[in-house]
Amino acid sequence: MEGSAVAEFKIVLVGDGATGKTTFVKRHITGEFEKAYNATVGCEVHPMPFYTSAGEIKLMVWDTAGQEKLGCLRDGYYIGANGGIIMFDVCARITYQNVSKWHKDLVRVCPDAHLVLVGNKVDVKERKVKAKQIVFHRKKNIQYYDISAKSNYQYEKPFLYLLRKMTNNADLVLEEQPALAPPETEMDAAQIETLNKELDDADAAEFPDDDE
Amino acid sequence: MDEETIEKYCQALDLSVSPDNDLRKQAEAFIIEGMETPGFIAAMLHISSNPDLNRDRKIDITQAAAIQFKNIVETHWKYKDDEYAKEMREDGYKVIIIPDETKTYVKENILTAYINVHSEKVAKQFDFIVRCITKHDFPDKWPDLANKVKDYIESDDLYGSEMFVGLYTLKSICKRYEYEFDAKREPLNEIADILFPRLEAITTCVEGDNSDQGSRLKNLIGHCFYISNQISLCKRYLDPSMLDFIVKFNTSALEAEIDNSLTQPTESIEEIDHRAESFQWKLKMTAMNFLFRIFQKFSNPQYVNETMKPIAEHCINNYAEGIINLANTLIAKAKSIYIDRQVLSYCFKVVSTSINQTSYREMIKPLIPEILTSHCVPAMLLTEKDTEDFEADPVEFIRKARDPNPNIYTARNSVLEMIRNVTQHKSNQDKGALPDFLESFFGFLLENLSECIKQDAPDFRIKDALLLCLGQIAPTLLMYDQFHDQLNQVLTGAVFQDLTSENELVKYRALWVYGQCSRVPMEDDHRLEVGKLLFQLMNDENTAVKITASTSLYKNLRNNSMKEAFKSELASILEAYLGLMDTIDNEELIAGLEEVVSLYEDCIGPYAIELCSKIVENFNKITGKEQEEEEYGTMGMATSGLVVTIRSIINSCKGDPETLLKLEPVIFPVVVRSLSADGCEYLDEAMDCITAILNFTQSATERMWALFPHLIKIIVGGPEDEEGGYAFDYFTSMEDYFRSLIKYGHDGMLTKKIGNDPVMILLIKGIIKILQLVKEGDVNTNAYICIVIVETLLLEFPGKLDQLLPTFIKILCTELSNKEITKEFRLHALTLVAHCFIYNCTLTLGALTDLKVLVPVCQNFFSYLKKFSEVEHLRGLIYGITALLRMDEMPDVIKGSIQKIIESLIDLMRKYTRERILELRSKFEDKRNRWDEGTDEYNNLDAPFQKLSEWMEEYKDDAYSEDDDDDDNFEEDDYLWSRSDSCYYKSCLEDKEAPLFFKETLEDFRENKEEVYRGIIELIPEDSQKLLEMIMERCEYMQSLQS
Repeated sequence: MEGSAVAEFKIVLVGDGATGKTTFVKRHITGEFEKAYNATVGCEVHPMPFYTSAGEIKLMVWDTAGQEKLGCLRDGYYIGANGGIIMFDVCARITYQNVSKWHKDLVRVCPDAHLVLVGNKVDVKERKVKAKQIVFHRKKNIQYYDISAKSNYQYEKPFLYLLRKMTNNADLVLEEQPALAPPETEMDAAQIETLNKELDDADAAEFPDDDE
Repeated sequence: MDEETIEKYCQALDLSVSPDNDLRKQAEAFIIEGMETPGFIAAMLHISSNPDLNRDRKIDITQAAAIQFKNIVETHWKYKDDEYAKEMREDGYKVIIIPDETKTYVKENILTAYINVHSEKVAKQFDFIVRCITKHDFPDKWPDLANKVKDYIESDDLYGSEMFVGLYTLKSICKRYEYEFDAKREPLNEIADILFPRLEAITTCVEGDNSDQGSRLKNLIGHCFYISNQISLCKRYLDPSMLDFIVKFNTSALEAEIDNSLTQPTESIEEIDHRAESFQWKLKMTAMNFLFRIFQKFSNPQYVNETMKPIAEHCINNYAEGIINLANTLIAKAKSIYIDRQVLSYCFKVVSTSINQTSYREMIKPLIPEILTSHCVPAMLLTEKDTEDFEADPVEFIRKARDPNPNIYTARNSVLEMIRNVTQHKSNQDKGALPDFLESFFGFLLENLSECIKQDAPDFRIKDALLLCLGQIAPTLLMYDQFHDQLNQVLTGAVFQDLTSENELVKYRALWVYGQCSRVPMEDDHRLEVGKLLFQLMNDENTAVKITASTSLYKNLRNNSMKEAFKSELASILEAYLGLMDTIDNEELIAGLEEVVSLYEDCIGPYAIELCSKIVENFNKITGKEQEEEEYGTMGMATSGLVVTIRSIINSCKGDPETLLKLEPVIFPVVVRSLSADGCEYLDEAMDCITAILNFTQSATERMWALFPHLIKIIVGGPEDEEGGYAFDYFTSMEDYFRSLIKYGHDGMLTKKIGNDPVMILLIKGIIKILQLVKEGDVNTNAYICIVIVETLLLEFPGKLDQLLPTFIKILCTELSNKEITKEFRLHALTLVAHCFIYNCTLTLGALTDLKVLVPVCQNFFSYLKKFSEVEHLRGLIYGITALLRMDEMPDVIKGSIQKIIESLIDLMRKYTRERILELRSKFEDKRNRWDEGTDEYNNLDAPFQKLSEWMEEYKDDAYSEDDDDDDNFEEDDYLWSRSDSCYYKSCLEDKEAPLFFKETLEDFRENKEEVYRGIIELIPEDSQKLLEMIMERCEYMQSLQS
C-alpha cells in the first residue's frame, strides 16, 4: 500500500450452485438484495470497500458460477486471486461434500491464496450439515465460519479474516462495519448462541486425502 | 493452428480475467465458442507450454490456457459418442465429443509439453490432465505411456524436468490401480516390474541428497512405492530382498538429516504451517506412513493371508526392531528439536502397536520406561494453537481434543493412546498382579506433580500434561485398591485448588481429572466441595469449562452421598444439561443426562414433561430429515441415547399414570420417527417407551391403536415385498408392545376396526403372513413371536375366541407338520398347544379331531415334554396339562397315557421349581447388593437369598440337572430365543407359581371329586410323592416372596 492509494485484493467466491454466493455479496450496500435465485452465469465481479484500521481496502469479489453447466471458464477466473471463500449450504449436504473439489481447484490455481470455508443459511432451523460434521477445515488447516447471508449473521467474519491474512496484520479491525442491507431474517439470540456453540468432537464426513 | 488464431486465444485468455465485466464477457464468449472447434485443445496445449506468449500480457496466459485445457479434458474426455452424451445434453449440460484424433494428438504431445512448462502452477494443471486421461485411457488406449515414462525416468539429469514429469506420470498410473484387487491390479504389477527397478536405482543415487530438491524427488518416489503397496504388496515386493530395498529407502529417508531451520524448536502457528509444507518433512511423513503400514499391517500374522505369512515373518524378523528403534529415536529427539507432529504421532503409534502385538512386545518393553518418563510430557504440552482455540473457539478445542486424526500442531492424542495401551499391559496374568508399567508411571506423575506444587510459578502446561496423563491412567489405577489412597491425595493436594484457578485452561483440566477419577474413594466433605464447584462451573463463561463440568458432575453423582446432596439441585442440573444439549450435539452430554435421569429416577416426575419435550426437540435436531448413512455412526449413538433417556424418565413416572398420559403425545414423534425406514436403529428403545406407558397406565390411547396397523404394515410389507417390510427384522422388538396392547387394549382388540377389518383379524392376517415369510427366509425368531402373540390372545380373552380357536389350531398344525422346523421352534409351537388347553380343552381337542390330527399332535406333545427347560414354556405346560386333568371326560389318547402324563407333569414341575429358584435367587442377589451390608434392607433381602442359595446347592448334584438333549433335530446355531427379563408384559399365569395351580386342582378334586383325586394320587409313584411335597413347599415359599 503506497501513499493514499487504496489497497486492492482479488477474492474468489466459489461453491456449488444455489449455496447463496450471489446473495452473500449483494448484501453489501453497494449491491441490491436478490430474493429470487438467478443462477450466475460465468462470474460477476463486485468491488467491496472495507474501512479498516489499516485504511481503506478494496476487495474485488469474484462471484463465480456454481453450476457446472453454467460454469463457463470455471477455475479460469481464479487466476491471481489473493483469497478465496468456499461456500456451502448447511441445508444441502451435497454442497458440503463438494467442498473438497472446490478446494482442490482453488489450491491448484492459486496455492498461496488465503482460504475461508463458510457454511451459509444457518438461519434455517433444520440445518442438515451440523457443525460437528464440518471437519474439512481442520484437515486442510483453513478457517471456518457459520454465516447467514440472509440475516447478516457473521457477514463480516470471512472478510475480516481474509483482510488480516492478506495484509499480514493480525490486529487489523474494521473501523466501520460494512453497510449492509437490512436483514431479511431476524435470528433470535438463542439461535445465534446455538450457532456459536454447535461444535463438537467430530469424526464425521471423510474426505479423500489430497496428495497432489 | 495458425498464429492468428493462437493470438486471438491469447488475447481472449488475457481478458478472461479482467475485472471489467464487458471485456471479460466478450473474452469468455470467444473461448467458449472456441471450445467446440477442432483445434481448441491443441491451441490450449500450445499456449500453455509456451511461456513466450506471456509477453506483454496482464496475466499468466499459459496458466489460463492450461486451466481451460484441464477443464475440457476433465469434463469431456469421458464422452465417447453422441449417444453417450445425449442424456447430459437433455439436462442442459454442454457436451463436447472430443474426436479420437484430437485425443491421440493430446496423448502424443502432452508429456513433451509438460516437460516444457515453465511454472509450477501450469505443471499442476498438466499433472491433473495426465491423471484424468490415464484414468480413462490407460493402458488400452494409451499403450506407450509406460515406455514414455521409462524414457523420462531413465534421464541422467536426476533433477531435470523429464525426471519429474516421468515420476508424476508414474504416480498417476499407480493411483489408477491403488484400490484395485486381483486381476484388475495386474497392470500395476507389470508397471512395477518394468519401471520400479529404475526408481530403486535413483534412490541409491540420491540417497545422500537431503536438500529440498533431493527430498522432493525422493518424496515422489516414496509416494509411488506407498500408493502401489499400501493395500496389497506388488508382486515385485513379495520377494523379501526387494521388500528390504524399499524398507531401507524409507528408513534412510526418516533417518536423514534435515535443515537446521526446519528443526529449531517452535510453537509459532505460521512456522509450523510452513514446515508442514517443506519437502524435507513431507518426505519423512511419506516414509513414516510406509513403514507404519509395513509394521502394522503386513507384519501382523493375524492380518495377513496364508501366502503373506512368510512375508509377515520376514517383516517381524528383519524390520520390526529397526522401526521400533527409529520411532524411539525420533521420540527422544522431539524433546530437543522440532519433529513434525504427524511423524511424531506415528512414532507413538508404533509404540502402541508394539505393546499390543506379541511378536514385538519384547522389543519395545526395555524402551518404555524412558518413553513414559522422559518423552510423554514434552509431547503433550499445550501449544500456541491450543491456547488460541481455547479462547476463541472453546468447543473446537474440545472437539480437537478427541479427534483421533493426525494433527499438524500436536501428537498429544497418539501419546495418550500409547499411555493407555502401555499402562494396561500385564505380563503376569494373575488376578492381583499389576500391569508392568502402571505403578512406576504413576509414581513418576506423583513425583512431578508434587514438584509442580512446590514451585512458585510453575509452567501450567507441564502440570496440564501431567494431569492429562493421570486422568488417562485413572480408570486402570482404580482397578487396584493399593492406588486409591494416593489418588485421593493427589486430587486433594494437586488438583482441587485448580478448580478455582483464574486460568480457564487450568480449571478445564482439573474438571476433567475429577471426572476421570470420580470413582476414587474420598472423604464425603471433599467430594461435596468438589461437587459444589462442578455444579457452579456448569454455568461458567467458557463453553469448554461448562461442558467438562457437566460431564464430570454426572460421573461424581454416582456416589450416594453426592447423589443425596444434589437432589435439591436436580432442576438446575437438568436445566444446565438441556441448555448445553440445545446448543451442542455431544454424545457424552447425552450419556450424562441419561445417567442423571436414571440416578434420580424417583424424583424426576415433576420435570418429566418439560424434560421429554426438550429431549424430543434435541432428537429432532439431531435426526433432521435426511440423515445419510456415512454419518450414522455417531448420530445413531446419540439418538439412541436420547431415547434411552426418555425411557428412563417414563420408568421414573411409573406410579403416575396421569403424567404418563401427558408424556405420551410429547414423545410420540420419536416413536413415529423410529418406525420410519430411517429410524429403525432406535426402534428398540422407542418401542420400549411406548410399551412402558401402556403397562404403567394400563390403558391404550387412540395413538397407541393408531400405531398398530402401521406396525403390521412395516413388518409384513406390501404384497410385492418378498422379504417383508423394512421392519421385518425388528419384529422381536415389538413383541412386548403387541402383548401389552392385547392386555391393556382390553376389548379394543375385538371391537376396534381398521378399515373394514377388526383389529384382531388384521393381527391374525399379519401373523399368517409373517409365518409364510419366515418359511421363505430364515428369521425363526419372528415365528416364535407369532406363537407368543397367539398365546397372549388366548390368555387375555378367555371365552371370547371360541370361533377363532380352530384357526389358531390350524396355523399351529401347519407349522408342526413342517419337518423342516427346528427343535426350538417345535418347543414353542407345542407350548401353544398347552395354551389352547388352558383356553378350552374340549374345544381344542374337538378342533384337533376335526382336523384329524388329534393323535399325532397329542403324541408329539407328550413325547416332547422332556425337552422343555425354559420357565415360560414350563409354566404354560404345567397349566395346560393340569387343565387337561380337570376335564370331565378325557379322550382315549390321553386316558391311555395318563400314568406317563402324570410322571411328566411332576418332572416339569421339578424343572420349573429349579429354574424359578435360580431366577429368584439372582433377583434377590441383585436387590440385596444395592444396599450396604448390615442395613435392615440388606438383611431383609439376604434371608431369602440365603434360603434360595441353599436350595440351589441341592440342585448342583441333581441327577436331572443335565437335560438329555439327544434330539437329532437340534442344531447348534438354532437361535435360542427367550424373553428378556426387562419385558413389561406379564401374563396372568405369572401371578401364581404354576405347580400351585396343580396343587389347588388336587385339593379341589379331594373336596369335590374324590374318585378322580384318588385316581391321580395312585398314579404318582411313591418316590415322587416326597418330591412333589418339596416342590409345593418351595413354590409356596416363592409365591410368598412374590407378594
